[in-house]
Amino acid sequence: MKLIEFPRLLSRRKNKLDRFILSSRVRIARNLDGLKFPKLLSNNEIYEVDEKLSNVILNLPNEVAIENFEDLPKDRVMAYISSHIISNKFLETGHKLACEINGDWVILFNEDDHFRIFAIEQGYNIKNIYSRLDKTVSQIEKKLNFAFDDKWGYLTSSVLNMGSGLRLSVVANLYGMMSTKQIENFVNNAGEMGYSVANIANDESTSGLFLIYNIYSLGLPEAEMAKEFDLFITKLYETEMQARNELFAQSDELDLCFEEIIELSNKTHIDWENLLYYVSLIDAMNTRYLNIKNIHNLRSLVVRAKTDYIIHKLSVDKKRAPYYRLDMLKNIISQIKFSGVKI
Amino acid sequence: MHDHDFPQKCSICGKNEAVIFVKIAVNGMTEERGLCSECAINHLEEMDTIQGLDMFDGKIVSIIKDLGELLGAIETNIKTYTAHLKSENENDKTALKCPNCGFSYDNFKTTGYVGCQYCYDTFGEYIQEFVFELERDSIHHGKRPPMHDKIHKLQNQIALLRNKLDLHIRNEEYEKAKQIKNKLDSLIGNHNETN
Repeated sequence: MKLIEFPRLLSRRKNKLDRFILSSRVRIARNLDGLKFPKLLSNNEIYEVDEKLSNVILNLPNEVAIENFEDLPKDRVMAYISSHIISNKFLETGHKLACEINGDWVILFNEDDHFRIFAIEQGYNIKNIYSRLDKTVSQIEKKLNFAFDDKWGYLTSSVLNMGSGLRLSVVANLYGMMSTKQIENFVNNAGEMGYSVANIANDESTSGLFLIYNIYSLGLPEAEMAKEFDLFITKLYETEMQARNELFAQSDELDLCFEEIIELSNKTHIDWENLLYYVSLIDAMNTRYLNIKNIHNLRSLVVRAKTDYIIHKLSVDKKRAPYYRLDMLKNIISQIKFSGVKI
Repeated sequence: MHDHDFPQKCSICGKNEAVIFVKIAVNGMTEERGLCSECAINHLEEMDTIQGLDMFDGKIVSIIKDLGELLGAIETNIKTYTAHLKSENENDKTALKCPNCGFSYDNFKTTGYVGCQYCYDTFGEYIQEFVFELERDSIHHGKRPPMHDKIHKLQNQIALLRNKLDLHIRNEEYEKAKQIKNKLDSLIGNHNETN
């Protein structure tokens, strides 16, 4: 079976939010009616759930492949982890995943919930991804009963997911807000509105790449949730663009940014967290101060430059990974066309 | 008796709630003052300061003292009882386990996870407390499984018809009310019984 890689690149009409959203992810969680949730199931019961779900999913109109993790070589498992298809947590209880062979969606069996369907795409495309997943869930629901309560909605192992079981998330480049020190305030405000914001490298990172998602799934119809999320991200876009304008309007700041990129040529290696800083910087400057032939090549480094991916998917020796990573970045920088820069 | 819509603070210490209300003559005018039990006793025992009170004798001091003690005792009892209830409640919570999967309240509280769908009934009260903090509608408004969806729509339809029925009866539009009643009967399955 061909390894599904996320985020998937779809040819579609661009929207303005693509300018700062690197990828969009939608996930829906469900549990089978009457059964304990996966953490409390015995191994045999987990196999039974796997079987029950596989039978229904394999009969969907889509072309579906099932991957059994008990039979997989470690390299392939690690490649799945580094591509964000599965997490280490999944391997604690889960044995199987099902994927639509074009990458329309992936279903994890018995992670925290019996059934979690998700998809990740490049750029901003939350509504379309949701519609696609919803259609598949509805087809499955014709054959299986899910745990449901009139008051709480669909019941999930984490109470944060009860209701719609829906999680909408994006990776956004907030380089402008990060550099103009607006992030802390934004994180607090977003929290009050029910959204979580976290730097994808670590809390101390100066990279502008942040994961943003809805914390709760209860109280709003799915379409409303997606609409609220849209509004939130659109407002964020305006704030970020204003921050970038203010930042780069200072010629010394702009010069400093160019210098940082050019000085990379003196380096020999780089770790993933530092690389994310350069990805966010170059991405923020793209189209206005420099031009990258294919922005997705740069953005895909978020996944492709991870140590596990370099080792297990690209078969590079662990010691060589930091050197290989910088070479990947330099290769992209070598294709940049700088506009109006005095070097 | 004095009618006060909200607790009044003691006119002397300004901290405790006033429990005794007295009238004081000041320059030929009477003013009403509220005193807490402690200040009232202290105040009344000081002979210099009691001249203005228009209804004072030894009996009143004794009643106020008794009242103060009584209030103190009630307060102590309430505190003890509340503490007892609180600890009983905590013990009840801690001992709470889902009868279906055995998942404990402690586990739920620590992790935010539950073990099965029936845990939502067992820990419903505490899940409700959590949901209250979301500051949005605390019930599900999204998609429903097909069967639940049908029932939900039926319930809404019945509620709507009942409202209409009430309205027609109030307006004495009995013909219309009868039509609505027939619709309701057929929806809730009374059709055969009435015929």
